[in-house]
Amino acid sequence: MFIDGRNVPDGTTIEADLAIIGAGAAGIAIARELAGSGISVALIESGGFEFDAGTQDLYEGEMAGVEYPLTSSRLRYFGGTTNHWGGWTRPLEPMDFEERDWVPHSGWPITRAILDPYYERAADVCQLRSTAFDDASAWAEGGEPLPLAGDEVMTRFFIYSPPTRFGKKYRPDIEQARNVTCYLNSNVMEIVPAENGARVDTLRIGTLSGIRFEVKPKACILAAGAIENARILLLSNSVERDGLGNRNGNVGRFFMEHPHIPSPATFLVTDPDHVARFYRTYTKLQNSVVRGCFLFSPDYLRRTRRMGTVLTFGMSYAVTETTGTEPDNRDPAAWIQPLVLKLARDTTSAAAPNAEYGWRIGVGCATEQEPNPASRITLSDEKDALGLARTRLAWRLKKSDADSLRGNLEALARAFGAWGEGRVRVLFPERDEWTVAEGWGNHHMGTTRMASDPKKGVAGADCRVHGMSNLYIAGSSLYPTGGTVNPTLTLVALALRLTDHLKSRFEEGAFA
Amino acid sequence: MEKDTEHTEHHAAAPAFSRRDIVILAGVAASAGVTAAILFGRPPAAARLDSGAFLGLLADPASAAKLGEIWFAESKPGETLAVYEARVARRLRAHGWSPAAAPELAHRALAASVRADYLGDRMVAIEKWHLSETEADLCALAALVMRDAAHGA
Repeated sequence: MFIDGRNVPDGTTIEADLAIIGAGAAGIAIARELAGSGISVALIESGGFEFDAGTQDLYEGEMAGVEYPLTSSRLRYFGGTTNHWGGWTRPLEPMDFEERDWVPHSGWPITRAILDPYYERAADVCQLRSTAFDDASAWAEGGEPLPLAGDEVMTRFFIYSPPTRFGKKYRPDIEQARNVTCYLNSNVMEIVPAENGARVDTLRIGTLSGIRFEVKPKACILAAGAIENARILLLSNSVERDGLGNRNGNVGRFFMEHPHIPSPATFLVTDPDHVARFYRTYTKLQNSVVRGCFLFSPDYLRRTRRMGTVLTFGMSYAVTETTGTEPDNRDPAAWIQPLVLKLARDTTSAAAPNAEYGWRIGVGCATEQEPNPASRITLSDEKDALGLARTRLAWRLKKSDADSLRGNLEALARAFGAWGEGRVRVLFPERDEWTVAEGWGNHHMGTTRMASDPKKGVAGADCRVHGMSNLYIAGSSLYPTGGTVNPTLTLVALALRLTDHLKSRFEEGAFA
Repeated sequence: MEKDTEHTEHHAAAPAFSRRDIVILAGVAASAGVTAAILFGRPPAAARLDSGAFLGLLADPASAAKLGEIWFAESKPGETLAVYEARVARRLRAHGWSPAAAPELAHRALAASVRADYLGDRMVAIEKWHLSETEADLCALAALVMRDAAHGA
């Protein structure tokens, strides 16, 4: 059932077993799972069914670090940011969950194996028809992986969701669930705890039309996105002055993105037939849409003490004797490409002579950033239309982030060169600092990180906020590290795991 | 076409090669392929001809020479022809080459040396292209032979 919060009588108090703050991928996934469970759910969404500029403006904020589009990188209406999701899915690597002694603050309190069954379920929620993320033989119809030399670079696969627009796809499920009520146009202004600060008592809710009402839940899940999750905890300061779950000062810290570099490298191959179809486009194979990518092997990352990068292929063109001399050529160094290909053909290539010396293929990448406590969300002095402090984001990247990426690109050059049929041009420069981002993925992560030790994180392995008995977090704000791939599949998997946990807790009468 | 925003200042620095230059280089390479087996065993006086033999491994030494010139302009390695000859010889010897080696064996040694460079992270950036050290030395050799040929003309 849906109720427009603007029609709720001012001053109303609504009771529910479980409140879910935010109807995005995580919130909707949880609410669906609980449909018919006997647990009464209040799903509280800031927006309506469509984009509204006034509601979206609540996302505006202040920038204090690397420039970042706080507003356009998110969507604040039913379905959340899945309303502009690109549909890229891939699980995090097993190594992403491990503590890596060369990556400060790394290590999840759960393993990939714990999450694996939930990834399978998340794949269904995201409408994937395959989970062959690592198995090239499943996509053999699209060709063979590049036989790069060495053990450093691996071919792996993204599988695309249609993409699932959670708001549209699952609206009927929410509509029909008798135990789920979704309050639209309803903004949680504060999570008010009981006097001891250890239990959620009330959610203070406001609409832009001026209505104020309350929800009193037995348990609460904060699922408003990684930026807003931190903001709401910080805004919830009427009892705990520094905000809920923030006794150790971790709320809002460790904000992470995946820096995206449109052209960190290019490569040449002597024969385009080497490059399987699945690398080049959103390839339709066996009822799925997939894309081959390069990842770096765990052994390599351990050996070199680097963080991960994922590389995908971009535009390509044939290289001939005249490449770089065309009137419309925009790359002043393009004329060197035939020279490099001729050299490769003379030294290591087994390619037959051809008027096309080879092909030039562009590369794009997303790369992991080190968890950094100085990369953080705090509250601005500016106020939004509800009178609440806006977000202040200080996104910080480190030299080590750039060094890792650069090193990984050099590994790519080794792998192509030793294979013999390709060469790599590394365009991403060495950097002393990284203060301007070339791009990003709209992947917000890390601001309420999981950690077994309350001093090191905001939530524990069960996603419950440390020091709170009935406040849970869902979404990518939980990620202690971000890996390299898109976060949606993982956050849905975590949400499903949390749902199972809460079902058990309700059955045990834990929140009675 | 994908846009690359980087630009090079080295485009103009690389010398233009005339048809005549290329004929000279091709001649050096072709004659070297025939005479290398006889001449490689000789002492330093044969150094110049060693260059020819190595360049004989390349179908288009003029292209390699252009890459060598770019490398010089970027990095100014400042070595002499003899140094590059010695380096290439040392690298190829490590992979079974000898002055008396047949061309097929020489090519195999070259390929093995280049692959080993890449696997061993022995790379040189020439206009950001990551090439093996053996490849870079060959390019340098070609460039210096080209210069000598031009001066001697």
